[in-house]
Amino acid sequence: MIRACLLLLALSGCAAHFELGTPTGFVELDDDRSGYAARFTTADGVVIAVRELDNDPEGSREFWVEAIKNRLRMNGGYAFVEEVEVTAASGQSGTQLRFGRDQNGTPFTYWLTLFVGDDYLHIVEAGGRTELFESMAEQVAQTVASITIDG
Amino acid sequence: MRLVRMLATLSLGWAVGCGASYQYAPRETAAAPASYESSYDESDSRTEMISEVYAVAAPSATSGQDYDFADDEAGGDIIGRLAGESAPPRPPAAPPPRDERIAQANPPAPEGEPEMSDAVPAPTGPLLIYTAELTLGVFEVADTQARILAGIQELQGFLSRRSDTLLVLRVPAAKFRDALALIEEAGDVLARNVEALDVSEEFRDLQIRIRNAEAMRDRLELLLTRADDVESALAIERELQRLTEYIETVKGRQRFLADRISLSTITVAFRSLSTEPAGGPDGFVLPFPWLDELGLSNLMRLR
Repeated sequence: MIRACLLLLALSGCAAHFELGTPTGFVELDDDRSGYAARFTTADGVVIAVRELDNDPEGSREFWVEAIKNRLRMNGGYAFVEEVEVTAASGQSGTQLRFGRDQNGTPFTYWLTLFVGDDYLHIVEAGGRTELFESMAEQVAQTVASITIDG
Repeated sequence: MRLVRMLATLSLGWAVGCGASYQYAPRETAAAPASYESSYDESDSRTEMISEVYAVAAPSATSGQDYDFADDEAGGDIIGRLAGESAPPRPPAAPPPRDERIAQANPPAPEGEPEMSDAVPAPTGPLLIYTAELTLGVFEVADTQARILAGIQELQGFLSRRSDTLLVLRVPAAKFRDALALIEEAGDVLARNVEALDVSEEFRDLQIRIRNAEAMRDRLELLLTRADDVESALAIERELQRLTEYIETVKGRQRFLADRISLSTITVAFRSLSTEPAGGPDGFVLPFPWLDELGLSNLMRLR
């Protein structure tokens, strides 16, 4: 029974090496198969999500920032807006990449914040229709900065 | 009544002079058909009147009483050249065969090049309408279109129609070859169709028709001044109206041809080349599948 619980915890991502509380006005989604370790959304579709990935092969923050930036700019159709340095509540430095994208004539905003540790990468994604996102930008920034990363 | 008879005969003579494509149709009026039949039966009178008609029309065809196309802008040069061409009397000897004339005016292009002249044909040569249709495989359609348009404008050409995947361009005939070279350099030519349509015969035929019809109109106007009753005057005016419409139609066709001769038409269709790169957008793909999962598409797919 204990083994089954541990296995279930491991499979469900409960062994995540970070903590992030549910932001005000958001609800946490229970979506184990989405690839996200955690995901939150507002009623009108502004979404914040966290990915936890092995830092394997081990790369520097600069390496991963460039890899992500290239992928989104060159192949994803995202317009790079700006790069911002952020600090997690647990003290780690991270890089926030801010992008824009038009979809069917509607502008969308997408922020991706990367924290690189020895063993894990933590990626906090946030996005939504620009019109809605801008009104919550400060809250999104505070939520990203509130993440606590182990190790 | 004699005037009406003259009118019917005149019209018959004009119809003969204008070629088989125009058929005289007697008017269904109370007086004209009878007069027409009457004049048609009087063979001596008809012969005399037809001779009279040709006495007016024939000199204009050979003595340089040319149509003044001063109002024409697009085709003024070409029509003007033709007017000059027709000024001297027709040579007694039969002209060389048409193919031979074309060959003389347009010597064969060097091997591997399309057969087309660099300039608008000389007056003695054929009148050609150049058209081309190209399909280009390009990488960035909008940028390529902009480059082509800039080049065409430098060649004094202009844009006729544009869509996301199509350009229709008009360029001076003298710049046709340069324009083709410019366009072909802008992309990968997937299909190419170049045509030179010889409209010399049609153009000259139109010019003769106009001259004859105008001579006929002058003659009718003269007859109108001699009309001694309303019936005759109305019949002549109907003919004048019909003739004027005919002249305008033929002139319109001539203007159209002149425009097509002086400005070549090039249609360029654009097709994006395959976006499948060698390895990725920059020739490489990093071996981290999760990179492909980043972005709004997955983030905002909440179900």
